[in-house]
Amino acid sequence: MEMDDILSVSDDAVAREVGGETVIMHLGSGTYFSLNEVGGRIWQLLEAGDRPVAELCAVIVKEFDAPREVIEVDVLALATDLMDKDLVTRRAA
Amino acid sequence: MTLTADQNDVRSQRPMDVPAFDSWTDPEGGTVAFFYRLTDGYLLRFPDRVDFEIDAETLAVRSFPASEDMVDVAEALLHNAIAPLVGNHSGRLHLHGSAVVIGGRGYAFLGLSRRGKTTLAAAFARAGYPFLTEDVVKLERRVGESGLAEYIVHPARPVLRLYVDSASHVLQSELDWGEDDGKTEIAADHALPHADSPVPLGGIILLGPGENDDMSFARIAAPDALPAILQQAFILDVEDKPRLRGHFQRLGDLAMDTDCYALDFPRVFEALPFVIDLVVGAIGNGGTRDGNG
Repeated sequence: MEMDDILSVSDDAVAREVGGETVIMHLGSGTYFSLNEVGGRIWQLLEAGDRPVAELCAVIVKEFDAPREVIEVDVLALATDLMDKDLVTRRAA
Repeated sequence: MTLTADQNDVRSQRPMDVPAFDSWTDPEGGTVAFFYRLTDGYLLRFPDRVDFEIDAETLAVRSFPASEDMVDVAEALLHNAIAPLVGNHSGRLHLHGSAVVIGGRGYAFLGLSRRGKTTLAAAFARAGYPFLTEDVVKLERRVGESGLAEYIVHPARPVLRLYVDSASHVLQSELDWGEDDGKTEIAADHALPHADSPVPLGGIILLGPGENDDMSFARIAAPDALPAILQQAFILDVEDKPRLRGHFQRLGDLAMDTDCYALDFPRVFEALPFVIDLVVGAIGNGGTRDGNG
């Protein structure tokens, strides 16, 4: 996963906010995934449109007032996890 | 809506020339039902028992018992499997579970097969908490004048279908008979009361596996409850993504608007009176208590 890779929400993913968390279900496999507030914000950004990882990081750094290097590690890890679960797809910029 | 099936002649189950697109399995891994796609609908096959054909457009159901012995089984499956599948496909809310009335409100026990849903309903009924339903919880969402959503639990048939050992325990008499699935049907009576009117939903109680000796009952958060509730939904067409999305949103609403609890206890009949005390006491105390000590 690279910072300029562009992420898209999978057609098989459905999500909603429930009690402060974002619960995502994969419609094909029926598996579930839960995101905290930061992860939920990233999901919300992706639902609004395809975005590069770097842009997601920039928004999170700004909104959550956290160190960029920490955010980049966390966002890359989350993006990889979501991709492994077929909840997002990736394409090169 | 009350679903009725056009009861057709007994028909042997011919081999299908298309693969099943979905199936239901029991906890031992055996197949309970196969789902096939027909040109104009679906065929649900309960092997050696019943075929149901469902028209995709009208959702009309035709029932084909595999033998004369399966006519009553077809009727039970119509209520406990086909009606909730068709109902959810139409945008309604049916869950796999039982429900009882405690303090004027309905409490639904949801869990995987063989987790004791019907036995709990029977035990609560014997203790004076009437059962509403034993296998399918039919819910209706309403928005009150306050703007808050509430759910109504509808009563189902006044019968309990119990495994023979559970039935013997609940009725406190030895039984040695059962139907082809090992269950026996027991009608409600004064000692096993049934609630025949809808009541507001008080909570959803998710049953744990009962793999240890401890007993526990606690409130759980909506994000933790939702995946467990989703497992108890009846889905006719797992490949119909628009309907799956709608169902996911409806169940999300339910998890958000309902008190949800996790209950676990060792699956021995002797534990049931303590489970009843634990649940009834905890609901009265705001929802959390453990059963140890």
